Amino acid sequence: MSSAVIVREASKSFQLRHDFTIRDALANRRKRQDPSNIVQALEDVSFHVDQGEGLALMGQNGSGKSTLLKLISGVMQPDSGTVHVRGTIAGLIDVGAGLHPELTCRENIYLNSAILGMTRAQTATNFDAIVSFAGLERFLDTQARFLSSGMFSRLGFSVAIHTEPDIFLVDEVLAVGDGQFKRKCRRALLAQRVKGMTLIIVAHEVDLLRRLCSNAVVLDQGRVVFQGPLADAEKVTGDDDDGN
Amino acid sequence: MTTLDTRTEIESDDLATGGKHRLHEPGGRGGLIEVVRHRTVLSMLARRDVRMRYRYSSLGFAWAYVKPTVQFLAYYFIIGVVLGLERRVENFAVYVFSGLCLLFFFNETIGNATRSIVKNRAIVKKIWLPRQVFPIAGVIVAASRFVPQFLILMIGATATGWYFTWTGLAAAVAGVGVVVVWGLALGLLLSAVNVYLREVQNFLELTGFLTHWLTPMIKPWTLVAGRLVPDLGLVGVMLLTAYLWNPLTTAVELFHLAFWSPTVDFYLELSPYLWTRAYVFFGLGVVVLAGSQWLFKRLQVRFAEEL
Repeated sequence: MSSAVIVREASKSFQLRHDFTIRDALANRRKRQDPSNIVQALEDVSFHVDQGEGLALMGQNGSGKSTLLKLISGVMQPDSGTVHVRGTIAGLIDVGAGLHPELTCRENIYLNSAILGMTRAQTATNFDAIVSFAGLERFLDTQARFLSSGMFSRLGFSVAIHTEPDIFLVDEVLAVGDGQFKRKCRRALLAQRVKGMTLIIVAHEVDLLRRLCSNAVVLDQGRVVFQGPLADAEKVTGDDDDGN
Repeated sequence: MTTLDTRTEIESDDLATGGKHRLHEPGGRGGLIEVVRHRTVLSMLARRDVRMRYRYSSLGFAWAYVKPTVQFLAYYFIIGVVLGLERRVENFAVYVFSGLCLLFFFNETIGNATRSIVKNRAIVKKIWLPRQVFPIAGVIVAASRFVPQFLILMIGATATGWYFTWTGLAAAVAGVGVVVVWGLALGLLLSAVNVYLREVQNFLELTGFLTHWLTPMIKPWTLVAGRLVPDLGLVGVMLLTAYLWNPLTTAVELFHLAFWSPTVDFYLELSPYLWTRAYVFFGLGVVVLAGSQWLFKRLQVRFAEEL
């Protein structure tokens, strides 16, 4: 089995910055060197994910899970170390990211698909499937801002899953939406995994993770503290919703 | 989930497979060629911005004309009629409007492009796209507003005796070319700088206003030369050189040559070496564009964390 994602000794730190104007920049010149303004988000992270594997990313808030997803999606680049991927990626780091509240659902479907790398023709082919999956037939020509937050995330998820990426990154987005839709998402994710899609998911619901993932990486303050079978990871994290 | 020497795998993988299913670094390298591959999203973003801008106004797209029309009327009546420039410049209305619509295009391009990355931060932070699509979409939106203004210019010029010449066509193409290449070059650069220093977008209002007065859009260059050189001597010559040898003056004068000159009996007011300047500033614009793409590529690496 070949790897879909290889992360090797990746580190990422952020400089906290408060100067967005020239005046601030001049005033804060000295603070720039101040080490307390640097946050080490990831330190020396290495792991790999096989093609078709489901991997759970676990850890407390602020442990570096989202930063890691951003490195894998290419939105950010590591300060040191390398990240390699195989195939196309759809990042569902935030369901609302590509959606514009002022556009109608129909316009949003086309725009968001394009943002995720689909052509117009491909979107047209998938259009009905996207709409029926999201259950938004009645709202096609309604502006997205009139949708409830649940509908909003249904739309985002539906577009993303229909781009049929090789690697799908999911960041806690399944926390929204009702139970019925969550089950639908889970089934869709499983169906895609059967077809060979690689899944990397951040979620706190152990129940959901158990169905979708076999392995886990647990982060703590930017370091990998565990990698291995999900069942063992649950022991490390204490098997509750917060991962404490 | 076994540990392995990833370097060995990456190397052997590169030999074994090719194409799409090769291991690669996620995201892109920041080249402009990636924008061509993402042209679907480019056109959709441009369309979204055009649609969004006037969605809530009853006048809709007509608002696109309000600002240039008010500016034009102000210049025409105050500078032309009240201050009497109309009597010295034949067909003053076409003279002003041909420069005005081109400068409007330029300022709109810079403004749209500069704000584009910050405005689309929700996408930039979460989904990888070649980041140049945002400023370039801004240029397309500006062009969509320029086209109808250009048609009005054509109508006005034709009504006052304009006729087709090949020189005129070449001058019009060159004028638009200089504006596009410089607008894109500066817009690309400023969009990236604006992520780090939000102050940049505040300067635009000011520079937009200045472009109207520091080019021969309202008054012919001869009037400027007539004051600068006798009054200021060598300094005046230097100022005049700077006034003439810049891309915007060149573009405005090219539009005068294309749309105003054919409508008047004498057009001595056009500045010298116009075609030389057209070549120089188009070529220089391409060089500056390459330079600002080079800088953009470096600055975009940290966009996601700065926004």
